[in-house]
Amino acid sequence: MADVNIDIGKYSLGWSDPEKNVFKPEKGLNEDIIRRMSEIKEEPEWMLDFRLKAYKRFLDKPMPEWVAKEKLGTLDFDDIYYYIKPTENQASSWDEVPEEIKQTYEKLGIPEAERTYLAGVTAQYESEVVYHKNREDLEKLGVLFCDMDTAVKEYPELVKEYFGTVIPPGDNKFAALNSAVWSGGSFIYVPKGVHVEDPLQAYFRINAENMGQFERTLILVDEGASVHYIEGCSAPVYTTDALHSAVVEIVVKPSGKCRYTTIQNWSNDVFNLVTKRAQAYANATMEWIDANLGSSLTVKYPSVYLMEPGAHGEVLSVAFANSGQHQDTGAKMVHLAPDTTSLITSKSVSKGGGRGAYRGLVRVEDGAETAKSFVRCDALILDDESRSDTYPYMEIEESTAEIGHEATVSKVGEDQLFYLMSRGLSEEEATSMIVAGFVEEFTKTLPMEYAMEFNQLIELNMIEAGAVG
Amino acid sequence: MNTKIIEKNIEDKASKDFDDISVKNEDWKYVGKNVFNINNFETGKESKLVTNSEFNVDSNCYNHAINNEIDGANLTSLNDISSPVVDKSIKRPLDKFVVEQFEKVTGGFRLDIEKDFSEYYSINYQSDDTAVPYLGINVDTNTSGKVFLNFAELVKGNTYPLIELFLDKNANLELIISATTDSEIQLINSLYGKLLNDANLSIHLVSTGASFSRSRMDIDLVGNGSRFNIDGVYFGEENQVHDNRVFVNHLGKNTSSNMITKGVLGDESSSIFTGTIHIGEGAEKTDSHQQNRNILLSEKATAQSVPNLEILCDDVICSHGSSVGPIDEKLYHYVMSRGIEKEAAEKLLIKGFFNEVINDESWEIIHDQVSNILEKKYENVLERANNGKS
Amino acid sequence: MEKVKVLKLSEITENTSQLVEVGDKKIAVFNVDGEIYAIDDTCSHAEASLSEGEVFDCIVECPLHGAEFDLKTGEATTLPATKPVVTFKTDVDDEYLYLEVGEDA
Repeated sequence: MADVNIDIGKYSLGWSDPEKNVFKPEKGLNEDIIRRMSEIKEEPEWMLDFRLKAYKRFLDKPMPEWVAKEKLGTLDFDDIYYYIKPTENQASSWDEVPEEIKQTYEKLGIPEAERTYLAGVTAQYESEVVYHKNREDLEKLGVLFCDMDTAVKEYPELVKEYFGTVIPPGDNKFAALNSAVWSGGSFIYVPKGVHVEDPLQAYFRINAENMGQFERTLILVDEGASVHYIEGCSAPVYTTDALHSAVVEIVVKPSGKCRYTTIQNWSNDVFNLVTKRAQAYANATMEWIDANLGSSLTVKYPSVYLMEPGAHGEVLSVAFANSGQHQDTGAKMVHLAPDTTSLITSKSVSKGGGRGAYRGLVRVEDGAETAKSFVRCDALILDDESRSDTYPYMEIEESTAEIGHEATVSKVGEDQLFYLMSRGLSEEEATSMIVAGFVEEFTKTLPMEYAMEFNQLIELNMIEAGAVG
Repeated sequence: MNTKIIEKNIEDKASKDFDDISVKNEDWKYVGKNVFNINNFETGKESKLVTNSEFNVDSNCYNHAINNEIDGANLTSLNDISSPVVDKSIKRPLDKFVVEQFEKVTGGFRLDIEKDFSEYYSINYQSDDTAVPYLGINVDTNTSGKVFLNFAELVKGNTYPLIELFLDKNANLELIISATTDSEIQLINSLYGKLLNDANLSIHLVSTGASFSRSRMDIDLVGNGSRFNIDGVYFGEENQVHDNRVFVNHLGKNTSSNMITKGVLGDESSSIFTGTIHIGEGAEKTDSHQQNRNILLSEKATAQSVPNLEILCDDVICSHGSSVGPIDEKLYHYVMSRGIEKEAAEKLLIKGFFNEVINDESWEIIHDQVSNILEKKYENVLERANNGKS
Repeated sequence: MEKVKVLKLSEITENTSQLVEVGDKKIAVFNVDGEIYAIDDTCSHAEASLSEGEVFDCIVECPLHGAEFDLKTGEATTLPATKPVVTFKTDVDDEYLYLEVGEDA
């Protein structure tokens, strides 16, 4: 198969606003910066203690050796800004948001989306939530949806009960870092029996050169409630590293349902190292829907711990690894109770020398009777420079569990390509269509506008070989 | 001990250059308590290796007689070999255990297959104490042969076979490895195979014995058109651990590999299936498939499976599948609706499960023996389960 | 169950921890503000030694992945640990600490 002729164009969403920030500390991290940060945020004592303890963990822990060792070796923690506060106070209506920031969001298309799909928006800009708007309906239902900083101060009991229990600071080096310097992120609480019809969403981006993003999200879905949360973000093009290390903790109580959709489209210099984990209780459902494009390195394994009988976990993950990109993504399902089920579907596309890997774990503990789990990973390699790996771990200690795993790796079928091209499509267009079909399972879960944007992103990825600037 | 094979394989690495073997080490993560006593093992002074052609090699390699029972197969004692079977050109993945094996070889020989023969050349291993028998098989160009490695009742001490295979262009080798010893020993096998153009290696594995049976295979499909097939069955009872580790490296073009292993685990036994199919850059038109199927028969049986894929070439077809679970309910209903009791149904279904592998004609010489052992083991598990209930 | 003498009280000073072995069991002993607690040393989540973890208010944090356990009940209070660790009854006389250790199940 001839290589697709690549036109190396500019990354279309890459631009940067001239910075207008209120407080901009030096690069690097130390206890003093953490204390100042906590003070500016006016946090309660327990949160400062939590941060300092986490900072110690971060210093003690070594860098992981089992993934992308070379790339991670280039990460210089002292060369990053850890906290910037762009405006004085949070705005509660669209009009109050500063102009430059509004423009950023216009470019990202938020206002239009808001008119039709949004229930409320929390937007993260330079580590702080700048714009926040709750629709009245949500307030009436008793749904809490605000940024994490506000939640710590306004709903302390609720936050304190769960914060750090799904992902403790000592979990891994990057969770420790996030636990020490987290800023922004969303807090959602859905009361018993409440079904939030429209998806809740947030956008965030990195702006200042060498800016780290450490948002922290906590979602609590009470018994019988349901919610769908969407996030999608982008970053401008810079030649120096940008680090994004988020933590998302989710607790879904009995019969609750939560779907968390992410479309990430980072530019080529970002290191995207995320820890995402959920706990699903009796008959609850947790779905992670994840699309990863761009970034220099993405390491992300959304997990579900199936705590009680009837719990169900799903991960639908799509990753595109283009030139210079390494996507190491997957899922983890831990079955701890009888009659739990899980489904992992992973689609990975590698092109232009990119490297896509699926790394996952299905663990069924003794006693998780009749647990069922099925994993399907498919990979498409588009040219002979690219690479695809699969590292599936299955650890089964329960004899009545039914566990299956299937994986395939292949290239685009010559016949399919020929057929489409004979109908007038160029090779790029035909490839792009085939790839879109390959990931259709994912795309059809998205609200229409996202699906459109996503298909555009695929085309961008297929036709332009990553950003060179 | 023959320094030639050691030099070639270890080069200037020593045991100390590798991480100690422990459950913290990815290679040995799932083996549990069996990992003790593997580091720095001691070999027995009286270990002997005997072949059916009365070829005797004792641990000090004093007495030997070469007896060419099959025309075309030439046996040379380890001490007399002038060159190892495998040359230096491919870097062999090693871990500390393999290094120790090379350093502590207790005896063995090189088998050269120079003319076609169609009956199996059998080697019955015997050991009373810890032994590290070496076997190097070299198959000449355009030649085909069959070898049966039997680790049965005569193997009573920990045995750590070290096997090297070299298949020249268009060579063909069928290898049966039967680990059916009843003894409560460790049987840890390290096998390396290098295949040149159009060579064909078929391995048939049976693992029903030893308390810890582990097999690590590294196969380099160097030559274009080379092929590797492996099928195997295993049955765990009591506390047995059946550990299969297979690394296949597709390096040439148009190579293929096909792997199917099936196991039943009863009592508190466990199965471990790990390894990597690696398809290198330029290994176009690779066709690789792998399947591992496990039935857990008893409550405390467990299975761990980590089949990795590393694909650096786009023009390939590659798939793998792995499953763990009880026998499919639907199959039970089907059989029982024909008037068969549940216990008999289960026995029948397990037989059918294994038949897919052992009914193949390449298993003919050991089919009955294997079928009987598998049946016996199933009955043992059933009896223990029934006794437990009463 | 039998009472086994494991330590001299003077060996486990306030707000320290120690690893003791009884047969093939590894037990982590903690002195928290004068109170003695004993739990299984191996974390229920992975191969890690809890006697090396930090303690805050009767909660010990596993040094490997940060999972937290309540020293009084053995319960896992955060992920990634999902199973509790065994606790051992402690007893003291003037000089020594005793633990009640049963046979393996």
